[in-house]
This record gives sequence, C-alpha cells and structure tokens, in this order.
Amino acid sequence: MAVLYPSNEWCQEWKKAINSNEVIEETGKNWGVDFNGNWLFEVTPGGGLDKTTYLYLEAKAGKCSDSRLIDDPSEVDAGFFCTGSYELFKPVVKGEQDFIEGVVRGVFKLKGDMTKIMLNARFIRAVADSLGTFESEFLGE
Amino acid sequence: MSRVEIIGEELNGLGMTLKQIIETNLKVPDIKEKVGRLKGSLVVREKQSGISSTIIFDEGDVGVQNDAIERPAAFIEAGFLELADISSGRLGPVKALLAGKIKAKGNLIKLLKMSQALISRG
Amino acid sequence: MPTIDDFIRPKEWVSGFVSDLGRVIRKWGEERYIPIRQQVDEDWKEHKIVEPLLKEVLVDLGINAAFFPAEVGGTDIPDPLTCVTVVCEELARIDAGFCVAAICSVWGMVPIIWKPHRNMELCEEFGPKFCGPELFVGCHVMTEPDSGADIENFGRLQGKTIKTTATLDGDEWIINGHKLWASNSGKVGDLYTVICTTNKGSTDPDDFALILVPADAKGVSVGNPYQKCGMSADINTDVWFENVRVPKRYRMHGPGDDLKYWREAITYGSIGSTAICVGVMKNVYEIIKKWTSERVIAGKPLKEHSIVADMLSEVTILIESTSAWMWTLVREISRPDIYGWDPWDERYLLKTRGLSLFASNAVERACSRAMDFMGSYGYAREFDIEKHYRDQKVIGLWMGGKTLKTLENARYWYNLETL
Repeated sequence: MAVLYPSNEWCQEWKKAINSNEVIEETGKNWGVDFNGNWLFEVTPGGGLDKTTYLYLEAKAGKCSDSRLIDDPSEVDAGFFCTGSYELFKPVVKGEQDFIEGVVRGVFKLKGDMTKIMLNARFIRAVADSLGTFESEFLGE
Repeated sequence: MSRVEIIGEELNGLGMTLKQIIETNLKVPDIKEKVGRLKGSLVVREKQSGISSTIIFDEGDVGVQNDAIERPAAFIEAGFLELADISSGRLGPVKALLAGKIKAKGNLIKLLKMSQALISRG
Repeated sequence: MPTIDDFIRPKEWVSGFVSDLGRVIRKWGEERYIPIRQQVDEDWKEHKIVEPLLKEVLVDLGINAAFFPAEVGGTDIPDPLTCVTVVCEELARIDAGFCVAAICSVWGMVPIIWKPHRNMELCEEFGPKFCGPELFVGCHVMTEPDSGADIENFGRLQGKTIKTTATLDGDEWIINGHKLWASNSGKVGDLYTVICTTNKGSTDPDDFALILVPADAKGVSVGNPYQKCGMSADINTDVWFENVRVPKRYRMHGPGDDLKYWREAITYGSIGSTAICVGVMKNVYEIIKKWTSERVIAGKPLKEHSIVADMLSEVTILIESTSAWMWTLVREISRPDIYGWDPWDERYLLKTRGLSLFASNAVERACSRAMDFMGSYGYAREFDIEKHYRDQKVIGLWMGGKTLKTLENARYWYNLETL
C-alpha cells in the first residue's frame, strides 16, 4: 500500500527499507561511527506541499534507528542538513532522479562534512536508491 | 591559508563539495605546502550531470568557480563515485586514469599535482 | 612472473608521484606510439607523425613544464633528476629517438630552470612559452664542424676550440658560428641554447658562454635533416648563426657560472643517456622474453635451451647492473646534503662518464645478443630489435664519444694529468 510522502508512516517505511537492505548495511558500516551521521531534510513548499516540513533520519553503522517528521529543526542534532523543494524531492523519492546528481547540480543544498560524503558515497547512493523500493504517494498528484 | 575563495556566483553542488574538500585538506601541513607552490587551473566535470567546476590555484590562493573555464591547465571528468573514490584516497588518480575510470586532458603532470589538493589523507 | 618493473628502481628514492608519471607515460606509449613505431623511420625528414606526438608528450603530458618554476606556469617537480631518469627510461622503452627529442627540449634550459641557480628573468620570458598550450621546443647546440667532441672535453681543452663567438655590442650579443648535430635542430627547435665563446681561442672559463637564441632571430638558418642509422624521431641538422643579435640578458648566468651550470647539464646528459639505455634494454627484454617463450624449437620453448638461457640471463644482468649504478649516482647527485658535492661539481661530470660508457656498451651488447638468438627475426623490422639496434648506437657516440668517456672516467679515478 502506498504511503504519503511526507508523513510519519512514510518515514517508517523508509526506515524499514534501509534496515532490510544489505548494500546499505555493507556500504554504511562506517557511517556515523565516529561522527554525527544523522540527517535533517528540509522540504520547502511547492508541488502540493504548502508548508516547510522537516524529516529526521538517524543513521549509524549501516542501520537506521529513527526516522520521523519533526516540527522544530532545533530539537534534533543532525550532522547533515539537506534542503530542497517538495517538487524537486518528489522525483528522487519516486526513484526517477538521482539524489547525488541533484546535490552535484545544486538542486539540493547540502551542509555537512563533505569529506564524509565522499568517503561514503556508495552508502549515500544506496540510501537514496532505497527510496524507490517502496510505494509512495504524493501531495498535488 | 585554509580558506578557499568562491569566485563569481553561488557555487553549484560540485563546486561546494570541492571547496569543502580542499579546505579540509589545506589543514594538513604537507598538502598546504604542496598547494602553496601550485599555479594553474583544474576543471572537474561530473560525468552523469555534466556539471563542471573550475579550481584556480595561484601559489597558495585557491578559488573555485562554477563551470569550465576555457583552456584550463588540466581537465578531469569522472562519475561522482569515482570522484568520491579519488578524493577519499581509495582510488589513485593515475590508477583511475589507467583503468579508464576517469578521463583527463591537459598537462597531466600538473593534473597529478593539483589532484593532491583533492585527496583526503584522513 | 617478473616484469620490467622488477628491475632495480629503488622505491625509497623514487616518489610515488614520479612512479605514477612513469606509468602514465607507459600507458600513453602503448596507446599512442607503439602502434606507429615502425613508421617513424620513414618520417625522419618531415616528422608528420612525430611532431603531433611530441606535442602530446611535451605539452599534454607536461614534460616541458615539469621543470619550470610554478610562477611561470611550470610544475616545479621537486625531485627533477629522479623524474628525468624515469621519464627517459619510459620514453626510451618506446623509442630512444623520441625520448631524445622530448628530453632535449628542456636539457639546454637546465642552467636557468634548475634550482638553486634559476634565472627567473629568463624563466619569466621563456617559461610561458615552454609551459603554454602550443608546442615550444628547446635545442641545445654544442658540436661544431671543426672540433667535434672537443667542446665536451672542457677539462683539457678549456673551450679553446669553440669557434662560435658571442661579441657584446652595447646591450646585445652578436652571435656567429656553425653548429652540427643538435637534437631538435632544423625546423623543430624554437629556442637554442648556444655554447659559444666571448673570446675565440681563449682557455679562460669566464669566456665560455651559454646564450639563448630564438630560432626565428634574424641571421639564424638551418640545413636539412641528416639521414641517419637510427633515432629518426630526433631531427639533427646544421645550424648557422650569422650576426645574430640577441639581448644581453639572454646570456644564462655570466662568466664562470655559465660553465659551472653547463657542466651540471652534461652530468645530467650522462644520466639521461644511461636511462635511455636502460629503457631500450627493458624493451629488448620484453621482446625476447615473449619471443623465446612462444617460439618452440625441438619440442620446447626457445628459452628452455641452455645456450639461449645463457644469453637471456646476460641481458637481465646488463639491465640490473646498469640500473643499480645509475640509481646510485642519481641518488648521490640529488643529495648534496649527504654526499657533499654540488651537482655541478666536475667530479660528477667525470664519474657519470663511466656510467654512460658502461650503459652504452651494455645496450649495444643487449641488442646484439637479442638479435643473435632471434636470428633473422631479430634482423627483420617486425620485432623492433633491429630498430633498437640501430637507435642505440649513437648513445655511445654522442657527448664526446666512447673515447672521451673513457678518458674522463680514467681522469677521475687515476688523476690523469696529460689526458
């Protein structure tokens, strides 16, 4: 059954997808081990979303321990912050657009230790690819 | 000097990434010393997106700007994963070149020297 | 199974960067040069094939810029002699003549680009040309019609046979003379390093001069390329200087220092010559290894026959011994802090003569032995042994020839007073 992106149900599906993915487990075994590997996604309005929404993803050693929507970005401690519009996030969630390419193009602004991103690029790609492994539905469609 | 100047408009994601990597590497005295002697330009092109950034080395000053300048001293094209492997030190630029994982043009000796600024020692 | 990379090349002395550069050159050679290698002899006069490849090496791979200061667009390679040695080995493995053409582009510039005696004024003037996107080639003109190797025999003749003169006229030098045989002469060279004297017949070291002369200066003319036994990728011609005027600042350093740093260039020439011999021998090793492994005689590969194994063994001993001696001297010259002599010390000039003599004999022997057991196949063009055989011969002849090398080596070790 499709889950609405963004929603807490969707976050839980993503967490499940991550934790059942062997590639993520293998490529991410060093992720967040000696640094803050948690992510905060800021999804800005557009494409059916009418207010800025924050998704929090806790990731360490190839596993996700928490994934949820949050109201206030200051309530979590994330090492990586990524912002982009809902309209632009949609194709990534659908698996139609490569997240890394979006970062390279500057479509998504990414803050955090880029050397960690480069060192774990295959993990980042695998996590992004996991988005397309479960069915999502979207606002405005 | 461990800051990398942004030349022109706001950097694309590739440029931001390169900027941050170089800034991190410049904190390593050995790399800082080597970069301090470099003069020339390096265009880095990410293969899938076609996005390019130019890094300008000028005897200690380093700048990054969007897009490729004309007639850089050296040019490198690679996919993001290969760039990531090189910058993280997992894949040597020469090995990548010999294996056909990256394309390079221009003064290859200079490219090898300039690429040292992009390779993390951590 | 051992390869050419298992011959002596001390890893603790050769930086990863220089090793990487060697690998890049090897890859370039396999892809770009080896496929046309057998056509180069027919290109000896026009260089239609060779010139674009020379541009690829000097400009695209960056050999020209490698030794120039960063301030003028160069790469400022930190361990230049080690780098030259690896570059020469790798290029000569592909084609000794091509190697000579490439490395001689910067050889004559050593006195002004090498630390610690850089002439920054001249580097600033000519560096951007050598380091720019267009092919710009240097040419070191020494030999003259009357004196042959006498110029290189400075230790005894003190420059008195140099007939090419430089006369100061206000702020300009006027150059007159006739040179022969320089690598990259003819229409290849863009800038000549001219060995001349400011006082014809003088034996005063202060009168020895190194003066830069642009090839397009008024009064410079060149002859046609010589048709030679080998080394077709390197063009050699006569060069005439007839009342050629160049600015006074084009003298590289001035009285005394010109000779001092030219001696250093000669020492590097001996090291480079040796590296060329090693490069050729390594390719000979590759060819005979393949040949004697695949060629079956009397039911077993040729290499399994004891008389052939004996010859194969000899070739590897020649490579190993030459490499060991060469790298030891490269190390010694590169570390004056340990060994105490400056690179321009005359003793290095003399000592490296023994090395280059040994190397030229070794490469001649290796090529000849390879041809011996390959028989007519070695003599045929197809397997490239005959090319190396023809190319290598001149290495023993240049820079004074075997006689001068022998004498200078003896001069060092036995303190000869009359020879």
